[in-house]
Amino acid sequence: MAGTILHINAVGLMAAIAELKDTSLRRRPFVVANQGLSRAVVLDLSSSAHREGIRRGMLLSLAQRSLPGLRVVEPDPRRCAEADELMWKMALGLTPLVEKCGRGHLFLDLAGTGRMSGPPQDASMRLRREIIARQGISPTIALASTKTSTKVATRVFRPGGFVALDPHEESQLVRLQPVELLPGVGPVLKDRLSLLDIEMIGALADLRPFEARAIGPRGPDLVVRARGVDDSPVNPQAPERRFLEESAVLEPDSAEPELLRLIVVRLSATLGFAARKQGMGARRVGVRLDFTDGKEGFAALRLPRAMYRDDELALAAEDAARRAFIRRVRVRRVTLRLSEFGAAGPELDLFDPRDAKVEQLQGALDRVHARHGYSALVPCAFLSLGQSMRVGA
Amino acid sequence: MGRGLSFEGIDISFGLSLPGEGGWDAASAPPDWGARIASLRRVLGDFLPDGGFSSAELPIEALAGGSGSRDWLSRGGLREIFGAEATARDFCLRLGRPFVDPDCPAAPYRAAVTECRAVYAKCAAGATTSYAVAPAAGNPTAGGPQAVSDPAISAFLLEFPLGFAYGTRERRHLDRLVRDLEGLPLAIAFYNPTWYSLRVIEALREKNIGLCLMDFPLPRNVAGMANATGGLASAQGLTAQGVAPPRFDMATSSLVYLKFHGFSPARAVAGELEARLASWIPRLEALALQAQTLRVIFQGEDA
Amino acid sequence: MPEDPRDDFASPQVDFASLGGDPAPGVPSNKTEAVPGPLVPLVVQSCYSFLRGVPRPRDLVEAGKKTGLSHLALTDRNGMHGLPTFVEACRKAGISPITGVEFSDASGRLVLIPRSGRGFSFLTQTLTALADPGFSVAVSGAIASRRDKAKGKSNSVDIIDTMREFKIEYAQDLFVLSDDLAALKRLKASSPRDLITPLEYRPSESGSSPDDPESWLFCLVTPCNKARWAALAATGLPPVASPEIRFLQPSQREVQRLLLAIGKKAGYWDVKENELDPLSALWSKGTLGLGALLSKQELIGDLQPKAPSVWDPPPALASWLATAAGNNRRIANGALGDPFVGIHFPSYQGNLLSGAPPPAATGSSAAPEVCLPAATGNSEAPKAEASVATISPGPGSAELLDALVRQGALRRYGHCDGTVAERIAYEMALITAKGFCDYFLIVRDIVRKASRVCGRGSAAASIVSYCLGITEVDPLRHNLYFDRFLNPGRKDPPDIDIDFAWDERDEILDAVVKAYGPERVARVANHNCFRSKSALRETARAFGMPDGEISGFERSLRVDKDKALQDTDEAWRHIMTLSRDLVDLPRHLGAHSGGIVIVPNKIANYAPIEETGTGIRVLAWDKEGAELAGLVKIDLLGNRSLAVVRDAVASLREQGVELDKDGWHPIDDADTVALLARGDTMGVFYVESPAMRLLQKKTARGDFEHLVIHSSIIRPAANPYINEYIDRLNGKPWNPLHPLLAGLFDESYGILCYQEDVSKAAIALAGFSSAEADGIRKILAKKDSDTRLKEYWPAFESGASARGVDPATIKAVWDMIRSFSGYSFVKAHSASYAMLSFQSAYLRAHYPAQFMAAVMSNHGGFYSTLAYASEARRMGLGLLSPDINQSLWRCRSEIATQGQHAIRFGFCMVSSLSASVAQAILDERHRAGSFFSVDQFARRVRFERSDAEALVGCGAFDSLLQVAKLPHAAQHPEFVDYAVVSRAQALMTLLSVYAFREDQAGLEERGQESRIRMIPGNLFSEDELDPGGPFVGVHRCVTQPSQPPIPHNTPSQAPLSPRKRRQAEFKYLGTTLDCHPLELWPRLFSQPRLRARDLDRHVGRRIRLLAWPITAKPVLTSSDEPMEFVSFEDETAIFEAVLFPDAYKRFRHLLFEETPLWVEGLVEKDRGALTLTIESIKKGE
Repeated sequence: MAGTILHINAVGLMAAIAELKDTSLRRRPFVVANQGLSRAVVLDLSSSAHREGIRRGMLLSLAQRSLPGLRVVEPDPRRCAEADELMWKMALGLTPLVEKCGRGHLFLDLAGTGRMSGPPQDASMRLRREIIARQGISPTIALASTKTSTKVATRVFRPGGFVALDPHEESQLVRLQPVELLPGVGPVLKDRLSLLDIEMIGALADLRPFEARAIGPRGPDLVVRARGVDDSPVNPQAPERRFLEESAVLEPDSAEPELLRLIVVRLSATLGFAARKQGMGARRVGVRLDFTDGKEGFAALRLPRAMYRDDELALAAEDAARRAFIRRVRVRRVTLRLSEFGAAGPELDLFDPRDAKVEQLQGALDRVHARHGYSALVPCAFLSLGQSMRVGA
Repeated sequence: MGRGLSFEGIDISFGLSLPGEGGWDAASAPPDWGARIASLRRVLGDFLPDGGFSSAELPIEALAGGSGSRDWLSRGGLREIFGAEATARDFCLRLGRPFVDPDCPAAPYRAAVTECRAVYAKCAAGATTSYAVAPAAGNPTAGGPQAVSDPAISAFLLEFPLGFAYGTRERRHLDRLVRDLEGLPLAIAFYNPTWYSLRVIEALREKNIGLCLMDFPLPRNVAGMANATGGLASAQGLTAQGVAPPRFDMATSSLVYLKFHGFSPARAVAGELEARLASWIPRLEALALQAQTLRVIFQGEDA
Repeated sequence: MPEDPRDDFASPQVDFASLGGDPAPGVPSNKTEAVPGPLVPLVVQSCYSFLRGVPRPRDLVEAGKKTGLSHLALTDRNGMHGLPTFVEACRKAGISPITGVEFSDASGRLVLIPRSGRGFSFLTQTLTALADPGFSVAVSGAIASRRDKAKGKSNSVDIIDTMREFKIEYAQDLFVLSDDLAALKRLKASSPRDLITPLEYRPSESGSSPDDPESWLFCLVTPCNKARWAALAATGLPPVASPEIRFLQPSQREVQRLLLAIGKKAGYWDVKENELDPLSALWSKGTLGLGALLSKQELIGDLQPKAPSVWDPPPALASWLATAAGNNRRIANGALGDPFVGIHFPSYQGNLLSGAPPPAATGSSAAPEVCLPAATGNSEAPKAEASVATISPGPGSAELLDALVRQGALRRYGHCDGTVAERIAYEMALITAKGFCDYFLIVRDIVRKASRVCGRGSAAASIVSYCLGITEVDPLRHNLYFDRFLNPGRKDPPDIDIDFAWDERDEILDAVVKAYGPERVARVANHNCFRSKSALRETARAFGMPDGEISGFERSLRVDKDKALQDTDEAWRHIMTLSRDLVDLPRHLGAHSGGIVIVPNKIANYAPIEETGTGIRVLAWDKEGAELAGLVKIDLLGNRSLAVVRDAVASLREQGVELDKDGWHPIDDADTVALLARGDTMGVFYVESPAMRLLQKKTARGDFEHLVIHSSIIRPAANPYINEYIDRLNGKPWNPLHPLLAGLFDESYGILCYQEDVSKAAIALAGFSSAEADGIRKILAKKDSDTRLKEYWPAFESGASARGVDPATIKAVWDMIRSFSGYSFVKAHSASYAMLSFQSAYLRAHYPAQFMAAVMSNHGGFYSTLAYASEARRMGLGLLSPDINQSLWRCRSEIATQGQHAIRFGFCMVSSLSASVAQAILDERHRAGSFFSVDQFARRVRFERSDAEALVGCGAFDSLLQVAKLPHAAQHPEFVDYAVVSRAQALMTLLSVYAFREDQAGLEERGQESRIRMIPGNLFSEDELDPGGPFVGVHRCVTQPSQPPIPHNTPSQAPLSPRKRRQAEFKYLGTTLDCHPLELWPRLFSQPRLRARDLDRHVGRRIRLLAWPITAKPVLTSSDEPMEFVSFEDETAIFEAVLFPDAYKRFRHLLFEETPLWVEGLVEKDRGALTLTIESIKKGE
């Protein structure tokens, strides 16, 4: 009987979607990028492009230089987000225990779903088929008894593979794989293990406790994991951890403080509108900046009360963005997240609220936005953003 | 094509595995294939494409086994199996003992490689070979001779038995084989699970060799597997649990070779075959996204 | 708020139009003589205001010359790094330089302009104080800084306080200009005497102010501080008007923005507008006149573009400004001019370096102080009147030097008479006359401190240097003429440069500083300027490019610049364009590699001293600047080959072979000569580069005389002449370039070869005086020699034409002269180098193992370890991995099996092994003998994980892996239990102990009992080898009988596969040992292929071989296209190849990767040397 942990690993979602739209891309090296914009980066790539040494996050110009004639496909961020969301929803149709870890990566715990959806293997087959049928993409899927095993398995049977492991063959299969497939083994440790003549996860699993300790402070954890022991549960998202999130990709990337500020303001307006529609205000504002070289800066602020007005949110978001901008490096993506929601609206007061006028203005604006869409009425400052920002990417 | 399966742009065909070890001399005819096919077809029902079976997996002995084996093919051996109406487009050649047994003396192995290359070269060049199926006399199909094309070789299958576990000697043997057979559409079936590692998979992918997917009846039975490997398997490395390749599907080359073991019509009663096939539908669909050539071969328990 | 200055002033009107500004309409300009000429810019900032200023001093002077200024100031912010450049440019342009410093902090500024040497000295000393790390200027924040000072934690230098402390004679020594009200107030109050004249000037008819010698404090009136004028006027101090010059072109303001961003490590967009200098600080004709002061727009903030640029000032203002303009002239005239006069020279005070106390601490006062003229009686400051002639030797130093030289002559020649005595007498006479005895004595002391030296430069022509052991070349035997070094006509100090073994140099520098005292010695600075690469990198950073991307872009630029630019995007193109403006702007101070200056008293009197980022005390000036300032510099340079010879000789001495220093004459050794003639010279000093080896092969000469020529002629720009030389050497008939040059260059076959040949040619052909000719020779070695050389062209051309030389010949000789620019040797220098080449060639010829071991330990020169290792293998030497018991820090030679010589790698070769652990290993071995098990090693030596990995990876433990075989094993049976038989186990053992220690430390930190004590039945016997360690027996804990025995640790006992072993060697040693790295690719290696040693059988044919690039030298073709010379090797030989521009573009990128390459091309033979012209390169897969 196969295990009950299902891992869906849709690495290369964007490329898969691009391939789906244009079948002539199949088997050809291609990358997904915003062509035509200066300083565009490779957002995703086909496996054959990966074999040619191209990587995610590489500058498009560099990728094209290293592989002349490389096909470039425009990304479809909306579709990707949809696909991700849809996959999550489909997974939720099977079990409430769905853990989201990054775009396109899901862990499901199918324990106890037998009565409703049949044996896990069948259920996962069905889920996979549904994903293929409804989205046309084929993520790598592994079914085993632990998260670690499934992770390793999806790294072996990729891309687009499916594998179901019985517990007894699970550890055996995991043991056979190169150590670098084990989550937690980085380049430094890999070199050390190589000198120790430990190339396979199995050899790592055989280490005695003092040897496990010898390979590094986290060695014992790794060895345990190599043995297939992993009791970390699938962690579904708690309802109270809901959030609203929106990001904007900067093309070209920029380190101009004013531009970043405008983008944050723009994002807070979008999210503020979404929150107000639900009658909610946020108590926490977080800004994540993805720098152009792949590193991140993050800062969050706790607000004294649930805020919902654009001006208040924007002020808080700007502050968070300033704190997140810790490096002198261009920013590629700005993500704003509102969370810890509470009921919006001013506390009842005997007198007119101090900001009554602002409230009225906000209300009027929202009515316009609700009827004609956000772009119908925007502050002048945003017009200068022009093409350099793509919300929702 | 049944069940709404769509494999547009994919070269897919279903076929039957023919046994090796004797039976390929001129004299002895194989068992009653017609009856077997008929019962298989019943089981498969609308899983089967409209053209029915159009492939066969032949042991290399069918070509080189004895003096009469070539004649068998040229006599229209495939048609003999699939029936006169079959559009036997191609066959897969199962390379037997001389290939997969590292202990086998080199001479027959070398000769067989040469043979394989020659056959493949001729088929690929489209030349009329002595193995060609002659057009049925008075075939009314317009266009005459090309209505039944020459059967080509679509795949070469190496089946490594359970006793062939990952090791230095075995790796070298495999490496030598792969180099000798370079350029042929190869698929490799490992019955021993020690081969299912990323390193092997990556190497296969790099050399564009298909990793054969296998499906066993449940419960997977060791004896069946031993049979399946052409009787070569020693019980080495077997445990009571049954050591088997993992259940997976994935393409390592443009050729995907899928082999159903223990597919006996006798089991159809329990509906088990039906269930197995049903579970393969989505898997085939997924594989079709990754492959260009898909061969689905059924091997009965007795084969 | 600026008040209307009219309220304060009521004075006759002055005609402003005459002051150089745009004439105001309707104002008659009949008083132009009132204030002559434009205002002298007194507040001028150059690029030497690091990371702030933009214009180069030379450009400022140029602009000044164009404008017709008689004076020009340079007042850089908190420094005077640009002073020498500025003074030199002024001298050339005929402008009087005004030196000064703008001391400036966040709140305000003080411009200090010295009027005397003493004032100048005050500036250098203040700047020196300021340059202590962490110190900053305080201009007006007086109260705060004083409070800090009271608490004893001041870290700011209060300029005004400092002035007071120095007891500056204000009226004589300084002009102080400021627009900082607080500072002005403090200064006014602090005046020792009441020298400050209140504003009582009555502008005379001429409009100039009375020449009051007493006034020294001025309020600074510039176009940039109009807002403060009223307040400044209210102070009652005399005003001085001056333009502020920060930019020469408006575009330089953006460069400043970039510089500020770089300085702050901030983004380009983070620099606020108000941090930049105002645009009114731009040099233009308008800004130099009073008119600029009156441009209406800025004063009243009118933004109408059509507004008149000059307005009619109210009479009071006009008068005030007139006074200010007058004072401008006064300051210009009264300021100290050229501050650099005379030479400041140390005096010999006995051998301070030997550790013996100086003759007497007070002796220095008895000894006449060099350079400081007695007339002034002031020992504190340099005096403008000092001159070269005043240099006088210390008492008895001439006698001392003479005695030492004679002593040395006896050692060198065995006698001291005849020509030797003559030459010594001649040189000594000149040296004594010029007062350089002390200098020679000091250099001798420094040299004696080192194991080996190589005097370079023209000093090698001196028999005195030879006898003192400063140089190794016998000037008599090799016809080296002393005049090149010193002659009666030469005005500048002698210049002795000495090479030391690279690893001894810092020690020697430290010793010199210690011996003479840090206040009297400083290193010469390097003005580290932005090079195109750093400019690009820093600009890109300011624009937020991540480092990884910058490196990628740089790499693509290296491969193909045009294509890289074409492929890249707008942002990078913009960055490229902007970064070009930064190139050559100074960035910060670094230490010159070896230049050192010694002065008799306090060096801060002569020049500002600073500390570099790495804590070295340096002059603010670079070597040219130091020279200009009259500071005598001694160059102590690092040289790896001296260390190679030292180490090889030392290792021979250990083996009983003594190469006597004086009796060793490699130049007379036939084997050595033959080796050099073959060009078989990898590792040999200066002759190992591919170009040099080719030259040796082509000429087939290995004698000293020819090697001297070759060392010199190999200049990069001299390619055509080299080929001509080879042909002539091989018998091609030749004539002198011109009859006038006949006989001059016969020794080098009629080709100009040495630096002094340039002088000779200039004298003979163009009739230059010897001083002029020497001038040419000197600039050849300077930074921008090519541009400076051009200045001589007219004189050269006309001089030669006058002598009837035809234009073609003039051009030909001039071209040859130009090929010397940037890099060329004097003959003595070549000879000195050739001598060192001969020493190392001798060692290579006779003691190859010792020699190659030394080459590798000192990380050779031109090639990588890999290349030297291959060479060693080709020489038949074995290479042995580092060994925990055998290796020293350096490589050494050993006799391996079957009597084969082998090189045992030292710990210095193991990358990522820390030096301290290597030392600990050696110490421990010295203390308690060899290690006989891995386990025991782990207990005796402390190490980090990376050290353990490096040691195991490079094979240092391989000899311990068979514990049972070791003799000690019988006495220590317990170790046999857990014999370590594979590298993997060795590493596991080490890591286990490391982890155990780590835990132990953690436990101890938490104040818990050590884990060992918690183990029941402590097994640690007292007779352990190292009873002290608490980590003893981490294995024994678990080998306790009651627990499962662990005879071995888990990792594989299998020995490493050869491939993995070699990979590890490659990783940790940079080379494989027992085979060529190509063998790491067995499939490629075993393919049938041509070997490099057989190339000569394929001349004229296209061939393909498997090769490994070992060194590459990119050059430009005559049409400025990049091409490259690449040396490849395979396991049999090294060969030279050339990638012409086409091939270079296509294949260059492949040379960066560590993989074997299939190289295809045409084998060509040129003058007996083989080269491969590459047509294609493919990665070997």
